Order: sequence, then structure tokens, then C-alpha cells
Amino acid sequence: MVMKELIHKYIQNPLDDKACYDVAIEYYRQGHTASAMGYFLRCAELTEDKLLAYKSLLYSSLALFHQGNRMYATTGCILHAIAILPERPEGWYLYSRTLEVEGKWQESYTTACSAMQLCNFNLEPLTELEYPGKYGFLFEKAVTSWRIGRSEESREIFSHLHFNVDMDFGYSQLVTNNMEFLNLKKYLHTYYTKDRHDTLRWPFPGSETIEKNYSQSYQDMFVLTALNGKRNGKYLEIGASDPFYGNNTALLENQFGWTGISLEILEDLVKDFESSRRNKILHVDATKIDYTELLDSVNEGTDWDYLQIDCDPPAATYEVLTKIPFDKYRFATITYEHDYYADPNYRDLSRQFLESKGYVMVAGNIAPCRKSPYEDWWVHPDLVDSETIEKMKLVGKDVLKAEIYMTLKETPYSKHVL
Amino acid sequence: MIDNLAKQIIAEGGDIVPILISSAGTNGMGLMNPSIVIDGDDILVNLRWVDYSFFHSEKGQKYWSRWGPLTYIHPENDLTLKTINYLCKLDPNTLEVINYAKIDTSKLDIPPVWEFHGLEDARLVKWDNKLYGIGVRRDVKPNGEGRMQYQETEYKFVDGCIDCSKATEVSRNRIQPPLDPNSYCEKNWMPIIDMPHHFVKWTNPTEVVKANLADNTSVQVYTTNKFIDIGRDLRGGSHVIKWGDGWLAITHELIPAENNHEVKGIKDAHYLSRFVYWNSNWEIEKTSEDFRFMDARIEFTTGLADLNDEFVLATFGWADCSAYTAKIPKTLINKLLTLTW
Repeated sequence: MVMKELIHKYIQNPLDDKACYDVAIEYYRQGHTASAMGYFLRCAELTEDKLLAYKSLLYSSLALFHQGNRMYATTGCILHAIAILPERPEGWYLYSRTLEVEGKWQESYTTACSAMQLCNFNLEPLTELEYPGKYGFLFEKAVTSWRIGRSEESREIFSHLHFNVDMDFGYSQLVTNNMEFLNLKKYLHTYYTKDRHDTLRWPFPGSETIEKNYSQSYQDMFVLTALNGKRNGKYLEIGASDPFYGNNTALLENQFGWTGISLEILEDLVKDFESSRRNKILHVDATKIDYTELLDSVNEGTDWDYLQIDCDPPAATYEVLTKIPFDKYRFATITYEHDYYADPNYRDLSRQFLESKGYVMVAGNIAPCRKSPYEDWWVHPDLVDSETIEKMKLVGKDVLKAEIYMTLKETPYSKHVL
Repeated sequence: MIDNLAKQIIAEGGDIVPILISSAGTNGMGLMNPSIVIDGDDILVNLRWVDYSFFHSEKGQKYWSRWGPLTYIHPENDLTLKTINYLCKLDPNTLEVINYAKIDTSKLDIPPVWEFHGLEDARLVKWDNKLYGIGVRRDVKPNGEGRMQYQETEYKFVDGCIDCSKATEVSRNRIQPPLDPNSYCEKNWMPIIDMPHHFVKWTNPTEVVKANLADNTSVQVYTTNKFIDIGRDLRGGSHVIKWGDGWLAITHELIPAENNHEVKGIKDAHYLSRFVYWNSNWEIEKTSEDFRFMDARIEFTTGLADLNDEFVLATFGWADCSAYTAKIPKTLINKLLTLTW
């Protein structure tokens, strides 16, 4: 029992600051925040090590913060910590965050602005104290500036965070949510527009006529690139979602004459699709479909040009993948949404599965920003030109921002440089 | 003063074991002042949950809260002191918690009319084949009058563990003090394990009372004029267990804080504990020096049980936020009883 061992170590010398800290950390890890605070405070009082006192007081503040509705005591501990090491950013960040949660927008905003000027950001960040890094201050500024009448500044910071900053998943989600709230939805997807044609890494016949695409992360442009701007192709789109916003087949249908079948589980989206798109959509649960029967019924041959699989949750997407009759039907291109950032259990399974069916991954860990890998892009070597495969093959372990993969130049959005 | 009795306990073959339940249902708040009872092969503990974080700037007192060195940090929109009790079963070999159940008091609860809610610092006893938690309840009178209350709890085991859904308060008795019906707050009566319904109501000079559940009264059954001049009040703490021809308990003492905090209206406190031995005439014959188990300024022992020929088990709260069981060699206790009166 770890706790007992740590307590016994503490008992050997209750004045040992590190022994107090170790007990406190274990209580904190187990969620016993009141117990943890007792030992953290003791450590802070005993230690001569400023950093240890600083960390102990900030942990005490976090203990109180997570107990809820104890803001005076929470900020008291934070202020003690800041007084010890005022150049460190963690205390200032927690102070700004706590003020923001308390609805003290002006105070939080000013704290964040001041800290960005005052703190030494070259110090190794103490991320265990819920400090995300310098972008945490920008996030607090973005949230609070909206509340104090600086709406344009708020929009700019959120957009900057979205486009330019590596954030952890939680903050990425918070930024996304805030952008939707602030009607910045248009920025959540990385659109291609005609004025960027000369930046396309692999222009294809017809690319010069595209005014804008629809996909979230260039999926439609990828399919057309791999198939050299093919016209009148055919697709199977599993998980269509909106008929245009973020849709992977709208461009193919509208401008390149493709036909195909889309599947969607949400009735409202199906109705929207039916009223605005020419091609067929089925209102079905994609996990319940017999795909051999479906594809046989279309009678369009066994080689298709594009398969999209995007269901929720990732387990459902993988379940659908395993139901596709790959031994009978082939797809020149596949975009498979594994949502690795949200559930890491299915990416490798899907890769093993598709490789076993003879497919080649040309781009892995595709993401709309610099984090949150969510998709792999595949081609069938018998259906896509081998030279094209070679030039497009860029499979790495790291996150691959779709825009960087598909174009030679990122959309600039760097007003708020960290 | 012994400021680290736990070290001696371990050195002499005893043990200190944390009493832990899952934080999932506790919001991480303090688990404190545990009280132990041994019932045949079963070791049970009543564990008190409170909704405050105990903030005590002890050593050096450099980091006060904005209200001083000792503060009960409640939710800012609710300053009532809430107590919930958990019934835990301990592994007889490791003394770790095997399983536990929150004691459901809803059947007998009435809306509280004072700011301390629930049964505080209940001492667990098994008398008349019934399990009682006996502590102070202060939420039934608008002025906060405190009376010792019996809380009878029914529970059952499933495969050797407490059935988590079946620890239910089935009766409660509010016991009036024997002499002064206007006494404001009766608390920390120490149950005498081998004398059902008897308590050491006051230690020095000793006063033993007996409660009557039939009419919720109590009567004095023993008093003495023998007073030991120890310099502080000996306040109630653990159970009273049989010890040789007499009895043994752990009491607590309140000592004033340094720096004249009280004079300035700043809340602060120290507790110290002490073994107290009574002879067969209920006269205090020996005591230990005052001590702390684990060097906290607030420690409170609310349980004492005779485990076997070699050990007793004492349960105590540390800084109003953590709970521990001490397995203490009897030889050590006899060595500690150095002060003769």
C-alpha cells in the first residue's frame, strides 16, 4: 500500500518537507484533497526550498478549487505562492483562471496581460499544476476580453489559438466551443479557396476552377489529387453529416460530376441533404447495414473511387470498416476517421485491417490543426497511379496538419504571437 | 511531551495504517475522527466525513488564510458544518478498509435548525448485540444545544464485506445529562466498553454516568473528589477499555496557541493527547506524558479497542482531514504510564 509506506516515511521524520510533500501528492492523486492540503500546507511551512513551497501552496489552491466554491481560500494560497516566486507563470495562470471562473473578468484579464509581461517563460513549466503553458494566458484573455467588451480581441485570440497554437485536447475543445459560441465556426475548418491555387502542392486538372472546397481538412481535394481531378467518379460516403459544411462529397458532386450514396443516422441532416443535393442519401444506422447487399444493389461495378467512413464513436467507425466487403469491392481512395485524439484504441486496428486488405496509407494522423490527429488517408495501389502514390506518400508518426500536407503555405494567422 | 508517538509505536512492533475510502463520493473532503469497535472477528470503524477543509498553518505560521492560521474552509455559500458517517470494515490482518457503507440516516432525519448538521465524533460500540454510534448532535435545537445521541445502525455482511447499501440508522436516543438540564453542550462522553451504557462523562475529577434508553435520561453512578493537578482539563477522547484491574482511555487537552492569538481574536488551537489509567475504584492512578501521534497540532483520538494479549487499536484523526489506526503494543503503553498520581 503506497499510502502506508509514505506515511511511515513521514513518521520517521515529520519535519521532513519532502516526506510531507510525498504524502500530500499521494492523497491528492487519490482525490483526497482535504487530506492533501493538510500535508501540502505542512510542507510549505517547513521547507526552505522556495520551489517546493511554491508548488505546495499551488497544490493547496488546486485542492480547494476542485472542492468547489472556496474561492477566497483558493486565491489566498495562490497569492502566497506568487509572493514566493513572482517570476514563475503557474501561480499567475491559476490566479487568472480562478478569477475568470469567479466571474471577475476584468481582474482575470488584467492578471493575464500583466503575467504575460512579467513572467519568465523560459523556466521549465510545471504542467502538473494544471498550467498548460503560455497559451493558457491567451486563453484566459480570450475568454475574459469577450466579457469586458473587447469582442474583436476575443475573436482574434481564439482564432489565433485555433490556427497557430499547439494545445492539449481539452483546451482545443474549449477553443472550438468558444469559437462556435462566438460565431467563428467558419474558422474551425481549413477551407481551400481559389486565391490559394498557386499554393496547392499537387495541382490537378480542374483545380484551377474550384472556388472553394467543403471538407473540414481538405479531404475532397485529396481525393481529386489522388485521382488526378477525375470526373464522374463514384463514392460511398458513410457518415455524411451536413450536406455542405465540412462535407467530403459536395465538391465532387457539384463540380466534378460524381455520383454516389451517402449514409447518415440523423434525420434532420438527411432532410437537409435531400433538399439540397442531387445524389442519394439513406437515413440509416451505418453499423446495421449489409454493405454487400447495398453495393450489389447499385450495380455500378466492383471498383469505386472513394470511400469515406466517419461515424461516432470511433468504435462504431471501426465496426463499420470491418463490415465493408473489401474482398469483393475495391476503393481507389479512402478517408478513415479514427479519432485517435479522443480514443486511441482504434487507429492501429484500422491500419492493420486496411493494410491486410492491400491498401496503402499515404497520409496518417491528419488533423485540422497542429494537434488532435483524427484521420488516415489511404489509396489502393491498383487503382491509383503509382507515381502519384509515391509523391503523396508522407506517413509519419506525428500529427499532420492537412493544410500543410496539401499546400505549400499555411494560412497566416499570427497576430498574437506567443 | 512526546510529539511523535507513532515512531515509537512502529519501533516497538506496532503499526500505523491510514483509514481510506474512495474519494469518489466524498468530494475529497476530510475523513476524520474514526472510532473503532471489535465485534468477535470483525473490526468495524465509524469514519466521520465533514464538508470543510481544515486549513491550519502550523509550523512557522507563515501561510495563514485570510481569516487566520486556523480556518474551517466551507463552501462560501454554505457555512453549515455537515457531518456524514461511514461504517467501515477493516481487514484484521492489515487493518486496511475492506469495504464500507455510508450510514443512511434519512429515516429519522428532521430538518436541522442549527448550523452543525449530523452526528459528530460518534464513538462506535456494540452493546446488547446492537451497533451504536454515540456522539453529539446539535441540530435539533435553535440554540445549538448539544446532547449525546445514540445512533443505532443496522448493517449486514455479504461475503465477509459490509453490504454497501445496507447501513441504516434505525433508532436514535438523545440522552439528557444527569444533573444540569440546562447544560449547553454535552459531548465526548467516553463509552466504557465492558459496562454497557456507562460513560466517563468527565475525567478529572472522574464522573461516571449511565444512560437509560428507556427514558433518554442519565444518572451519575460514580464521582470522586480525587483531582490530579495536571495543569489542563482532561477532555473526552477514546473509548474506555479494561486494563488490568482498572480501565484505560486516551483523553485530549486543549492548550492555548502562542502569540496571544486568542487575545487578538484570532482562532488557533493545539490539542495534546494522554493515556489515562483508572484503578478499580475509578481513581486516576497513572497517566502518560502528553503526546501527539504524528506531530499535528490538532489530533483527536476517538477510538480504543483491545485487540489481543499484545496490542490495542487506537483510531485518531489528524488535522481534521485524515484518519489512522494505530496498533499499539501493550508493553509500550505500560512503559508510557510513567506519571503516578
